[in-house]
Amino acid sequence: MPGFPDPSHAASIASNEIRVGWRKLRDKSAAQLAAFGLVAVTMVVFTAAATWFAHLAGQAFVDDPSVAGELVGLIPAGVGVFTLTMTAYLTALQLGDIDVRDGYLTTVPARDVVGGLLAAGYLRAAGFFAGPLVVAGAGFAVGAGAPLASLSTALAVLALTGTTYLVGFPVGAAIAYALGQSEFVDRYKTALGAAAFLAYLALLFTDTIGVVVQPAIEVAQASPITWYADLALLPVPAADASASRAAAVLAGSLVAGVGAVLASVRVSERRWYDDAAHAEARATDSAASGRLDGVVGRRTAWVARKSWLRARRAPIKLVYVTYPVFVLFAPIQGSVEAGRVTASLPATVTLYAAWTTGALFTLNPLGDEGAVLPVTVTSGVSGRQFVGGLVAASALLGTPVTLALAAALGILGPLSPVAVACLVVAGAVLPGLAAVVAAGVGTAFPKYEATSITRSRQAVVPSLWAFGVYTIVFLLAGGVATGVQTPVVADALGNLLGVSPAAVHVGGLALGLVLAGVAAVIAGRNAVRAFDDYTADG
Amino acid sequence: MTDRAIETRNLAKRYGDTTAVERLNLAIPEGSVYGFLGPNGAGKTTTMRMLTTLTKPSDGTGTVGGADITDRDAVVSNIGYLPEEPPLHAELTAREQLRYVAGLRDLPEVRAEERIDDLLERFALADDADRRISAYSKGMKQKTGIIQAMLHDPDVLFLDEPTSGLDPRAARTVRDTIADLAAGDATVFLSTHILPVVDELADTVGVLYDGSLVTEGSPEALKQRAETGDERTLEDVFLEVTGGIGGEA
Repeated sequence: MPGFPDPSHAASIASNEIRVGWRKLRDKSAAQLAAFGLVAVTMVVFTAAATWFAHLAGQAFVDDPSVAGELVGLIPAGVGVFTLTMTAYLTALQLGDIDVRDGYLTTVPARDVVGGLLAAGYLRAAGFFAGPLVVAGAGFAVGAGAPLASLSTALAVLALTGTTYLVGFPVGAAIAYALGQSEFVDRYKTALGAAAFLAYLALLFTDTIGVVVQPAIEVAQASPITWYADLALLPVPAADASASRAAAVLAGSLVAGVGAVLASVRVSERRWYDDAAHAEARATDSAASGRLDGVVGRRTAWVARKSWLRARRAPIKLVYVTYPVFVLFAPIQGSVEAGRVTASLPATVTLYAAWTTGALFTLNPLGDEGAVLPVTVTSGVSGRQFVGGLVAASALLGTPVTLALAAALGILGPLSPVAVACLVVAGAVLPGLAAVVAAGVGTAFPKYEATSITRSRQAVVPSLWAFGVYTIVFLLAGGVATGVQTPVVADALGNLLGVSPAAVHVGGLALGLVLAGVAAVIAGRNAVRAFDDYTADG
Repeated sequence: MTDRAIETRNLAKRYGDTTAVERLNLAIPEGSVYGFLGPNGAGKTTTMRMLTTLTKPSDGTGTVGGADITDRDAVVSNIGYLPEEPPLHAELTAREQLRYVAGLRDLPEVRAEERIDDLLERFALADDADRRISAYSKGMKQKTGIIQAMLHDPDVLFLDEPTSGLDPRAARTVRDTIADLAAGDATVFLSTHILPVVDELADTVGVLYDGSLVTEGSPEALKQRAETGDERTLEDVFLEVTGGIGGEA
């Protein structure tokens, strides 16, 4: 077909993409592989559970088809909306482009590359839920006493996810193309990315994501997408499935699929060959010596200023500090629902803000220097100055924010004056200690290799070990200092120990700060020594 | 196929108000080596990208191997391209990478295997061909990229700094290979800063400066000072037409 990818080239490119992706996965660290293994085991358990429930549902459906109610239409509508959204998002971010693109485009026509990306991308965008759905469909078929339904549900799942995947791909590629053509987006991409992330978090935390998703599901429920249920249930005698609707949805899948492939080729060609917009670079935020020199010393101040400047120019390398933001999910949602600051929010936010301060610039001191590290270690700057500069960079930013959050939320929340005062002290002291602890852990578990953040963006981020060890050590110390400021914890400990809640607030704060202080002294010494003794062979 | 392997008429590329290439006219015969010189940022890579169809010209026309550069399918099947960064998958071995590209080029399997073995041998990569490219030195990656570009015996070969990162022995192999290719029917469009390579291999040298072709001719003719008849080096010519030592580099 004219304009259609060559199937043999597309298959070859797809299998190579999967081979390269598999090798990239295998080359990851043991900790990352363990995390993937855990996800795989979870998927197997989830699939088994879903299959068991589907089996029961099949039995119930045969006895009384009305029990399915709206689910018959809701499942294909939900799966379709999810697949399309997920595909569009992943395509805009990663699936819609290929490594060594210039090599491909001077070897085969662009449409063959698109064909390869389409074939390889399905597994990554929809494979992880299409597979379990097929297996669960077989469970349903057995439960319903209609073994043939295992084939029809598999066909329906593949047709539905395949079609919505194919439609989602050009949508994602078109979004990426449109964003690439906008000078405004190019200039403000950092701020826009942060705003989008905050908007997503706001939807999630305020439990209003349904407000966005619900209309899309309703539109899908009113469309022929629900006919995939007819296709799935065709061999089940108890179901009122229409053969003509099943045939129509299959034919529709084919037509929509062919159209979507042609659209994918067209949009990708525009994306790859049209000139992208480039905003004029503006250098209004360059570093210069200033007052910090007199406070911490000139060399230390330059280390700190360098960290701030790099973060401003490439904030994406700090994206990992947002990973644990989900610990705030329950307390923020609770506060939103209650319409006031709940008792657990001040301590949780203070702890997270202090943790973030430590993670900002000090969690990978050596690796974060990148190719400059040999120059830095031979520049005459001492370990104390270098680590001091990074700690200053983190603490000078994080301490005021943590202090302000602790004070504001403490006063607005239902905390006693003693607890508020203790939380404020924790907010003032913990961020600096966290930064020193992070420096010690980060130099003990450095990471020098860049990690892909998106297909086109790589950044050196801290190692998983540094991330994990720092978090545990800091939670043990900082968690005590802040956790005991929550009334329910203070009351429980007070009853247990036979002391007043105020004593628990003060005692817990003192204990937490001592623990964090001891950890900081040990970690700080190690960090300084690691820098002073650094050699390229480790 | 015409007797011009590469031909452009008033080829231009502009990005907003910035002109990368301006009214470029080239007429490069088949079977020749064209040395394409110019300071950093002169527009050499943009020109190569237009000729290999990776970038759309803003103005003008061009043909490569007789095919219009707006007809991507026709151009791509005739060319081999080595960009500055060799387009290789680091997770593959050199042999896997070359077999893969041979498959995409639809080369018959037996012929492809023979050709891959022959080229790996010629570039002294045979012993390392089954190691991952991620473990290769810069020079080994460069050699793999060159083999990949010439694997299918293209009519026109675009090489961007092919000897970059190569040790003297490997650089010699590349120079001999380019000479062999040009001795046949192939045309080589060679962009490099290493002037002795151009001096040795090129039939014609073109110097691009600030997007425009400022001089063109055989190395011998360019080195001959017209006014006095004195001999000078290609470096002297390059510096003179691109604004002198302080001009741009």
